[in-house]
Amino acid sequence: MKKKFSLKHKILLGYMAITLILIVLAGWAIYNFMSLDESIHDIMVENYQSVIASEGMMEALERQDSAELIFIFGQQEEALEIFQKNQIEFMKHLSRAEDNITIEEENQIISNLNKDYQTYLDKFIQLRDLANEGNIEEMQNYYLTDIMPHFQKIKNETRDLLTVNQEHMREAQSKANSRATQAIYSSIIFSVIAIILAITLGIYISNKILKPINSLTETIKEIAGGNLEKKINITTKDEIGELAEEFNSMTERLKEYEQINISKLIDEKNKSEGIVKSISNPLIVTDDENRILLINPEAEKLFNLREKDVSGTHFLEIIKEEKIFDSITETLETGKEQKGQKNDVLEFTYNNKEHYYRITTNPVKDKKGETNLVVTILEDITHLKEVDQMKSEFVSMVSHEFRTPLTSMNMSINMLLEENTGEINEDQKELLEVAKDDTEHLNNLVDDLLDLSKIESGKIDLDFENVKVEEIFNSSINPFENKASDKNIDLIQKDVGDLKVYADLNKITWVITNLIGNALRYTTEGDKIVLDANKKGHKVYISVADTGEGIPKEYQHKIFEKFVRAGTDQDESSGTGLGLPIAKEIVEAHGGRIWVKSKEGEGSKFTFTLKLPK
Amino acid sequence: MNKVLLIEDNKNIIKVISMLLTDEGFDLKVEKDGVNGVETALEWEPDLILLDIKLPKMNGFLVCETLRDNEKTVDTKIIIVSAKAEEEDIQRGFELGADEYMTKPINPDELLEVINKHLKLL
Repeated sequence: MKKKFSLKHKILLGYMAITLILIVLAGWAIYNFMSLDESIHDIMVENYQSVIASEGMMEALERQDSAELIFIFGQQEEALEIFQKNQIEFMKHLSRAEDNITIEEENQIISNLNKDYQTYLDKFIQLRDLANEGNIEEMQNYYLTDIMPHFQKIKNETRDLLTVNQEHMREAQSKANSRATQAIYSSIIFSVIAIILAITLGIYISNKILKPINSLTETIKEIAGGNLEKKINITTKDEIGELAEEFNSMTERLKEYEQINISKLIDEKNKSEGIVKSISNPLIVTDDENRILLINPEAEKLFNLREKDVSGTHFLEIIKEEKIFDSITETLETGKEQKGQKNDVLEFTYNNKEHYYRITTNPVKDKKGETNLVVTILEDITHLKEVDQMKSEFVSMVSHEFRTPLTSMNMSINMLLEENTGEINEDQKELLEVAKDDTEHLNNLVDDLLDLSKIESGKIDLDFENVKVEEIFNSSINPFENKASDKNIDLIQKDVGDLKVYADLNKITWVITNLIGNALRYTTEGDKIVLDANKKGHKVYISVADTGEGIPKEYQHKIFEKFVRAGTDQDESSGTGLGLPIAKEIVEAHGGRIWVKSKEGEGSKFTFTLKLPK
Repeated sequence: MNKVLLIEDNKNIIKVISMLLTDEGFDLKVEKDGVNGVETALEWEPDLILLDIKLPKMNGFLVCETLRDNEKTVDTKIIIVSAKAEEEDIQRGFELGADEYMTKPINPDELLEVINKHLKLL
């Protein structure tokens, strides 16, 4: 196991180094103070005490000397008292000086002083003996020759002691001074060194800590920028190193996760592409700026393109089909599916064959619900067209085949009824009338079937022009005027002014005629049929309303289907059941819509829409 | 007596029209296909021809065209009576020189009226 220096340890180590420097500095200062204190103690305590003692000794000595003089001059009692008092004083000071011996010389001086002072005291006893003899002159002589010089000697010795101590005091002072100066300088030097050391150490430690942090930050920034390949290269064994290691393993996991995601995405992409490619109808995917993102092999074949050549190019640059483009833009704008109408079919010729396609555009929405892709499918309805074609041809053939027998039947019945071949009785006539009615009905049926098959197969050619609604109404009402007045039904044409529509006059007249015919069939005496038209928005609403018996609810949504007749229709022979489906086809071929509103017993109102003039 | 040639392949129609026209006093001949129809028309030179379109061997349009190309029948009244009621058929009939185009089914009265009109019998 490697030795681990944690960040904490590093910081502590740094602090410890600085503390050590501080301790050394403090120790040095203490040493300086102590040596200063020693010098001061020398001055203040030892020498100063000795000086005081010397001075006290000198004073006591002087007084003893004075007491001796007084003794000589007769006042012995008083002199003796002074002498003894000062002797105690002297001894006190001397013993104090003795206690404070600090210098070699001092020792010698004090031992001399002790010896000499003893002699001095002996000499005073001598003097007292002389005084007892009463010899004043001798006393005086003794004082002058013996005592006085001895006094002088002790006094000198005391002065020596003072001098020695004063001298020593001066020495100590100068020593203290030099020590203080030394202490100031050394302290300054040590402090400077300590400060430099501390700063250096501080910088070193913070660098040691910050450098890996900086490198970590740099790398993290790069990884955050998306470069998951980047690794943090920090080998230190501290907390930062640990952090770096964890971060590296996190990046590693992130990379793995990303790879899993990418492979999932690729799988999804392959799946969708597979689905798109396997769709047998041409399919084109465009983005919100109508650029082609994807086309499937069927579309490639149809438009003779290669996907890799066209992806990213604007739709119209590649496929010049306004119909498809309109549908795509409509879906982009509305976000709704657009399914091609029956008459809105694309026609292509390829492989020398006509192909028909119905356009369906579907929006693909993002998270916010906005359309960002449009999927266009061209549904191949060629086979439907073919079936439709076959159906129309079949219907057409059948109706033709019907017409010839119908002609002979019709003619035969008519000739019989007109009695060209001889008289017939009433019963026979009635039977022939029935036959005649039904041949007529069959005939109408064949006509309507043919019309319907023509319209349904789109063969109907609409002759569009701007027509006055009034004109349509007039030509629609005309054939019914007699029949209406016979049945005593009020056929009303509302005043529609100058209103015009963009339509095929004959076809729309057919529609209204059919509606009036129906209305007449379901109305009785006193009822009304009203034709009206008005403009709403950019459409014209045309209506045929009656006050007849109305249509039962269950039939209302079915009446536009083929061969459906309202249950109350008793006059079965009068309608083919194809009128309304044809009317619906015609209106839708005009781009309009037809519907009915009816209430049983109150009447019906058929309404359809047409376009305004162009 | 006005001569009328009926070129028609349906036997029931032939029967009815024959009965009708004979009763009305026309001299009637019937042919059941286009080729014989043309032959008889050129040979017999009728005043009026009732011509069907869907005919065996040669269709009515071709018959009409052939007859109009021949000076014997260039002025003969030709009335097409056909189940083909498409606008384009009618137009084609007139272009090829038909005097009238009647679509089946037809009424006897209607037919007589048209025949009489063209023979200026009314």
